[in-house]
Amino acid sequence: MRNVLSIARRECRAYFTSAIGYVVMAAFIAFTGLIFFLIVSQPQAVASMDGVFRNLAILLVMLLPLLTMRLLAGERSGDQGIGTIELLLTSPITEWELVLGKFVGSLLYIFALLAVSLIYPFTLGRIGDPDLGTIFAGYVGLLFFCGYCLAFGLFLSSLTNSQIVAAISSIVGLLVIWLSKFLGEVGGGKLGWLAWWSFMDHHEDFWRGLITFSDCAWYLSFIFFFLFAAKQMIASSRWR
Amino acid sequence: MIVVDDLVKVYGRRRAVDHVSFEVEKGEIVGFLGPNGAGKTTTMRILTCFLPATGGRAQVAGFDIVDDSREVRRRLGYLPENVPLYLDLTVDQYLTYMGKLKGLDRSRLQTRLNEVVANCGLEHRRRDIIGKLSRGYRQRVGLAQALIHDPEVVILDEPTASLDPAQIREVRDYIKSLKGNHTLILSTHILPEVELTCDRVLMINNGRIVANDTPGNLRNLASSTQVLTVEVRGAVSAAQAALQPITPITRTSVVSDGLPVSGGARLELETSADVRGDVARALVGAGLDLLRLDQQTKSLEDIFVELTTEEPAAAAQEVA
Ligand SMILES: Nc1ncnc2c1ncn2[C@@H]1O[C@H](COP(=O)(O)OP(=O)(O)OP(=O)(O)O)[C@@H](O)[C@H]1O
Ligand SMILES: [Mg+2]
Repeated sequence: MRNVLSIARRECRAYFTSAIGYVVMAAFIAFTGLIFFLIVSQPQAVASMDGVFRNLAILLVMLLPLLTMRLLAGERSGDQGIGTIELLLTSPITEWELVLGKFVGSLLYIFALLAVSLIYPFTLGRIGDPDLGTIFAGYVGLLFFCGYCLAFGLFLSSLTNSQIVAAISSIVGLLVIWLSKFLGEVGGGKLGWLAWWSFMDHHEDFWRGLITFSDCAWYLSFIFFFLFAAKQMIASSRWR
Repeated sequence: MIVVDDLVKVYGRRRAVDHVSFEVEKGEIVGFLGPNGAGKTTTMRILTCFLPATGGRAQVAGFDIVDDSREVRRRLGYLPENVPLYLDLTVDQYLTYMGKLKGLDRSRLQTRLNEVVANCGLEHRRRDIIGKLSRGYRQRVGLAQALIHDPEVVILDEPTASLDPAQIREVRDYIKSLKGNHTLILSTHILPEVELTCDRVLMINNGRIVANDTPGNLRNLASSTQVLTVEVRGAVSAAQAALQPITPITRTSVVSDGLPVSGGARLELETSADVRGDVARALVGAGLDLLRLDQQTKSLEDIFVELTTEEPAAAAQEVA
């Protein structure tokens, strides 16, 4: 546990001192600010975060892989240092601690980003009468969604030595998972099951203010699965 | 402390480590010596649980590297060959992070940090970003990282590469000071370093151990053969004829005939005893001008070259 926190703290701090961390933060603030402004300046605007959450998802699918690409691929090659994975794998930490530390570190950074965006519901509260319960559910959903994207990106980062490959494949992968919902809808009966694999339906519930056990379980099990897969990838480098 | 039994590592079709077995006692300093691509780094990576072996077993500090990998890693300090560092951290931050991962608690970490920083000559660089340090300083940070938790077993892959001569001496002295309490394996291409720091030398070539002995013994092996360099003015054939009767000479070779200034010839003789007097008398007696005569004992370097360029199998027998 102590090791998880050490690694998480190092990773989170690295985002605050690296260019990529700032780029992601700037893009996040600029984009959410713009969307929020466009939405509230509409003539029949309602005091809700729905529009922001809805549009934010697509941005996060693009941005989060930029955060996760360095987590493991960057330890093998990258501007952080070359071959630092050798240090990690020869220190007395378990593969689980390594993967969890990396995941928690990136999640902490996302906490910071989402905390910044709290300014929008706060503003809404000043100018209108938003439903705080719905907004809360939306944020919970957003956290699960980010956790999903980060775990997925972390897994792909464990597969390759190249940060670029990790980032691009994560973005493409997440988009495919996203679009599988529409594929399911278009394909109808036979492909209907595809919709379940997409995070869209699960995400949608949170926006509408619903926190259901099945949605939480869905996200948690996928997050666990991706982290487990990343852990296995790392462990496999030690298998005969 | 370290027991390696029949270790094999195969990369694709290349055998990087080929049935290597050896033991290292507690408190010993052992040097891995071998040409590029001999398999030194690969062996170290296997011992540090970074790479799996294809075959064979090994124990470090009493624990099996596969079954008790974590216990092994707890007791191990490792400086990898390419000196991996987090370039965005300061020296202090980096060493603190590494110390934490190695399980040091806060107070112990503070004391050890001060110690290794002093021992590795990093006092004035503690707040510098590692990415802005010179290559030699990075090497020192890497060394400090390997020793931060005061490990029982220390494995250093080319610890003095890219250090300046003064620093090489300091690091060498530091390594020697670790002797007794720590068991050390280090690899190097620098032969004097092995002679100065190591209790034992393991020469590796093509993944096989070709020599496993003390530097002293290896040098004795060499010193039983002396090389005489002789320069004479006159007919080379006459010189060769004059040297013929001296039996300890095992080999005579003409290095050059017609040297630039003196116009003489240079010969190299390999002898099994000190025959400088006989050689001088014989040459002068044959009416030749003796211009130069010196005798060298073979250095560890010569043995190194011999063992690693000859047929490995033949070389192994020669040593055994
Ligand atoms: N990851 C790898 N994949 C394939 N072959 C490898 C790999 N790493 C090392 N080798 C091969 O294994 C052999 C031994 O390499 P190793 O790095 O152990 O040599 P070394 O003794 O450390 O050499 P040097 O003195 O140059 O550091 C070499 O022939 C090398 O090409
Ligand atoms: Mg090497």
